Amino acid sequence: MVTIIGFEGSANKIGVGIIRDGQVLANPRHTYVTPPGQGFMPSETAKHHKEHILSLTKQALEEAKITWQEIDAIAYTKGPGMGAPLLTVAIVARTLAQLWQKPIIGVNHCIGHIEMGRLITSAENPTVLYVSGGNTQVISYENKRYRIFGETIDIAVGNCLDRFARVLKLSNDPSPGFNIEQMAKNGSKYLELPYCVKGMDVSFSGLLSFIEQRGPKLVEQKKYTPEDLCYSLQETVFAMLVEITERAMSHCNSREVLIVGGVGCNLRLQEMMRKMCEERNAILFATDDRFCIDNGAMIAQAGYEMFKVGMVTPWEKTTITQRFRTDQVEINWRK
Amino acid sequence: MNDLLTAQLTIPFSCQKHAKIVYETLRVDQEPRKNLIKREISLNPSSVTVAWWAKESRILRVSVQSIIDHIHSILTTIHQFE
Repeated sequence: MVTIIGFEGSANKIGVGIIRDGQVLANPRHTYVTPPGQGFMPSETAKHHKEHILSLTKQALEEAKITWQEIDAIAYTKGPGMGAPLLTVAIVARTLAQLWQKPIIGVNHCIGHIEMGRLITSAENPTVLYVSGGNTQVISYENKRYRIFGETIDIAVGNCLDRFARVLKLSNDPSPGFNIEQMAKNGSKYLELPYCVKGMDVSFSGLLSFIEQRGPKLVEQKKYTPEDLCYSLQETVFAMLVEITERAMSHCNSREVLIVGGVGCNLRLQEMMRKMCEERNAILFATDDRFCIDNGAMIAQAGYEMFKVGMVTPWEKTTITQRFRTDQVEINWRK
Repeated sequence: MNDLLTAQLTIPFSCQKHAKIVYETLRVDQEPRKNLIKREISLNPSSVTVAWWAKESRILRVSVQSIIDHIHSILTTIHQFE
């Protein structure tokens, strides 16, 4: 029996999760929600995490009905992400590792998402679409690495959605993307937006500038409603993502797609991806907001896999790093 | 390098164990801008000394502030989970 506690705080969510042999024992989290029209800044986000991490740790232990003595190792997010919030969480993880005398494991955030998605959906060897506020990647496993087949060449898809939500002054509660998704359901008039797929890669910054500049005017002139713009934005960016995912599948002869990351809980994206999968005779795997959106259990799960193959982090290496690519990690736990 | 700004903090702790935890936790991280600031941490059984040498007061202030914040965070964690 192996029990791992995982700490995640690379963006505006702070989460503590406990995993025991594939079972999620607890997974509480708290989101730093900023006022409409505003994003989250590193130092305020770090302060938020600092305020909540210890109570969340207590809550996780209580919900899991275990004591700290039963924990085998502590996993924390090493990167990628925002420096100050990552460091706040790493400091607490290091302190607990010494207090409890447990090994510590620095986890790549993207690997956390992939391993959590695989655990929850039981997908065996899927082509992974990882879409969030900070990352947009199409990934496939090959010879001990999660290889990046395609990715964004500028901003992440979630960042594009979040920033457009700021233009419309949508609420950030529970998340800007969720509110865009709800608005889009009532949109019907499609505004043609720049569709930017370059081989296996995508680009969203031009599209964002376009809609940021013209959107408010079009609404003012009553040519489009904010709902129409949300709808047009979603349809365009999701079509781009489905296209590169399909190309990666065709390249790898894959029959499975797994969507992970915060944007992955968008039901419209899942619907479009499912349609593509049906046409190719493939299966779509996706999870809901509990496991798609950043959480502690995903870090615990990746930590669990690493722990079982002896990938414990030496103390001097328990640092954080804002840049940490998915393909930098050797995946020793898979064949 | 003789016009450097310096700062030094010595923080006493209630026991050697706490001082060691603070020292071990802090010593791992490097200053992000190594060419502009230098930081040294030492453990002297039940206290921790941090010393800085920096070219700009702003960078020095940010680093001192963040070390104090981290020490606060470490101590809160110790008090709640020891």
